[in-house]
Amino acid sequence: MGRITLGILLLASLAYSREWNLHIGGMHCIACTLAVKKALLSVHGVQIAKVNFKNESALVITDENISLKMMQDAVAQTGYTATLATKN
Amino acid sequence: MHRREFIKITAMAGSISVLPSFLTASVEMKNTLALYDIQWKFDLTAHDAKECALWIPLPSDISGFQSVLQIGTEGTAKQSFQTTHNNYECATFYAYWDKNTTNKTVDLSMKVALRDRQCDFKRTRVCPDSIEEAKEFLAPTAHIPTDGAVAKIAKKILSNEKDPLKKARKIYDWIIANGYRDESVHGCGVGSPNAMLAQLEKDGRMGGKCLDMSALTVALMRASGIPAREVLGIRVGPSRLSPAFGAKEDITKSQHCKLEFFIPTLGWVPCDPADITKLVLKENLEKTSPRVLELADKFFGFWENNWMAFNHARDFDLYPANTQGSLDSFGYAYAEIDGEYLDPFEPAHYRYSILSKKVTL
Repeated sequence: MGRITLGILLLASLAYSREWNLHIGGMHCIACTLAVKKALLSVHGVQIAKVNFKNESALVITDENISLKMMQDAVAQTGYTATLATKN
Repeated sequence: MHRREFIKITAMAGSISVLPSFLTASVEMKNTLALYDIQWKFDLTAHDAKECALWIPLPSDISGFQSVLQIGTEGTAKQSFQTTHNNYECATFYAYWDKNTTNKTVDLSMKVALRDRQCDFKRTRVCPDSIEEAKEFLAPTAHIPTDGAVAKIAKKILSNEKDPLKKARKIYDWIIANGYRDESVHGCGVGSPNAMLAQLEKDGRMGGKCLDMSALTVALMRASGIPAREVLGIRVGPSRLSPAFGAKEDITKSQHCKLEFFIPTLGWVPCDPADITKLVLKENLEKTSPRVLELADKFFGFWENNWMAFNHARDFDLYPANTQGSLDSFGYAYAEIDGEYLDPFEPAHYRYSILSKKVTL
């Protein structure tokens, strides 16, 4: 029952969410993905962040009110760059 | 993989006694044999309903120094196997769990025999093939540059020195003189020579851990025409020389990187400048103290038999391929959860332990 409620809540939150594909610059090893992910998740309203070293990319799911600049600022504080690859 | 599987079993006592002499006769064989029983336990059960993949570095035989007598595995993986199919031929154990597997565990047990590795620096015959193969370790990699700041510093250290062994010693001594062990660094460090040299330029000295020191040493040696490579491994028992070089039974956090360089008249020569910087810190010694000088001298050409080597891979591709791309080094087990890198320093999500016991012969 708990899992069903959690699933409904997750679906509801995703219905009001936005997906971003970011290009991440400055990563020099796989461990850098951890720092970038942590930075993205530190932005209140970022729900999911999946970072890939090989593709230098991040797939980010956020609340509707999150802007690109908010994520860029958070990522920049860790020494990396985030730019928009495509936006849905 | 529900039942215990033994990948390799050889007659233990027999194989010790017939260990082939070292590839190059320059390595003196001493009666310092130690046998270790090592147990690895991994538990990724916290990642319920997710795909998990795990690559574990395994020890391989190193003639005259290390002999893997047995590796056994047991666990719940949907797929698992041992492989050396990668560009450095490093022995790897791979395990994969699909999202439906609730209990995601794997245990490895191994018996490894180790001897002290001591170079006696007597000129010896090295086969031409070995000399040719060693040249591969002159090339730069993504994390081992040989140009720019590395080339500049190498030139400064060596001045007009021409003898390769003296060159190697000068670089080794320079690392010890300018480096210090920084305990705040995660794991073995990132192994970036340029980051170390940038720190040196900024602060007048450079802090790091074993991979950082070894990588810079390797880069400087390669830039000076000396083939060199880091060797990732793990401490498996107490040291006869200092507690700084040893480990207790729980070796989960005892990963350690050493290095070796190649001299055409000697073959591969072991050394370990990082452990000298650790000695300075742990025993609170001056770098000019007799004990540091004596051990620095000893560690130029020596590996103790309480450390087990995995591989010398840097900037390489795992097999089977992972989602995240090339690994910069492979001294720790590497895991991906739904294609994302799992932090090996995050014990809540990545539960693993490595225990080692010295076995009486």
